[in-house]
Amino acid sequence: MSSPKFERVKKNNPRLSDFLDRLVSYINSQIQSGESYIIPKLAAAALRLTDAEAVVLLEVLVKGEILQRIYNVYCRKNETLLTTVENIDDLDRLPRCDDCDECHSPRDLKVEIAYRVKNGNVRSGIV
Amino acid sequence: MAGRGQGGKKGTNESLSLSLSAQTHQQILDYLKVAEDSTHPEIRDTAVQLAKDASEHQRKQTARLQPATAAMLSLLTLALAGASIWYFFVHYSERVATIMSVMVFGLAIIGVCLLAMVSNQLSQANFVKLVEAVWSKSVGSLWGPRAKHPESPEREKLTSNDD
Repeated sequence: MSSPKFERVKKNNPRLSDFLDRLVSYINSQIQSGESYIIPKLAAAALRLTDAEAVVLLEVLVKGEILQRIYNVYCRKNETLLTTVENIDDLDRLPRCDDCDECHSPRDLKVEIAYRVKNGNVRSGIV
Repeated sequence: MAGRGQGGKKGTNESLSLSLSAQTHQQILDYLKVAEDSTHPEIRDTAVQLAKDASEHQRKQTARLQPATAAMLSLLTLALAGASIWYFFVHYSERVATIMSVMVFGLAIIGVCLLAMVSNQLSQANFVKLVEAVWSKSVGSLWGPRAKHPESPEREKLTSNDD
């Protein structure tokens, strides 16, 4: 039994229905295996789509308030996760890097776009 | 899937000088743009719509003035202009009132365009075009006939008599 939100998203995007079903199955399998984030590149590989196509499908679920876009910020020097932010504007107010003991400029950082189930209801999945 | 420099995108100095949020927003737009060439038409159409929505949202976010506030101020400007025009026609001769009304109306239109530009509803290029159009219509209509006056039929008659 699908969630009402997901049914609404499918109703609003009837042509994407099959793709969304496959994506949600993938998301549920990831959640059940203990992953809390959905990485577009991995989703694309699992669904045999391009990264850009996977991002479009994930964004459709974001628009339907099923998923939430998050940003993992990494320090380029040490390849360590500096922080995870939910709001894109927070990327301009990042904390000091403890490993390097300095405040990095944007060129010293890299941002990974990821998605997670909205409202933190990770365990139950989407469907 | 990383910052603009790593994800196979153009790592130009220009993009690196942008803030991290602007780079990330651009990265998402780039994905949507790439998806516009998808082999799946249903994903392609959705990508076009999402890109449009994202651009619109960004435009609203970066506006120095909220569109609703700009609309209210524009309405106020036009109302003041209307009241001024009414005042001119009540208190001055028709000729003077007409001249002042045209000027006030032109200024009001320029004010509205300025508000639209500040709220990101109008580009700078279109603003300049509109100002030029208003200037030529209002000021041109006021001073245009006077400039042409020497070439009036009476003048032509005088010059032909001289011959």
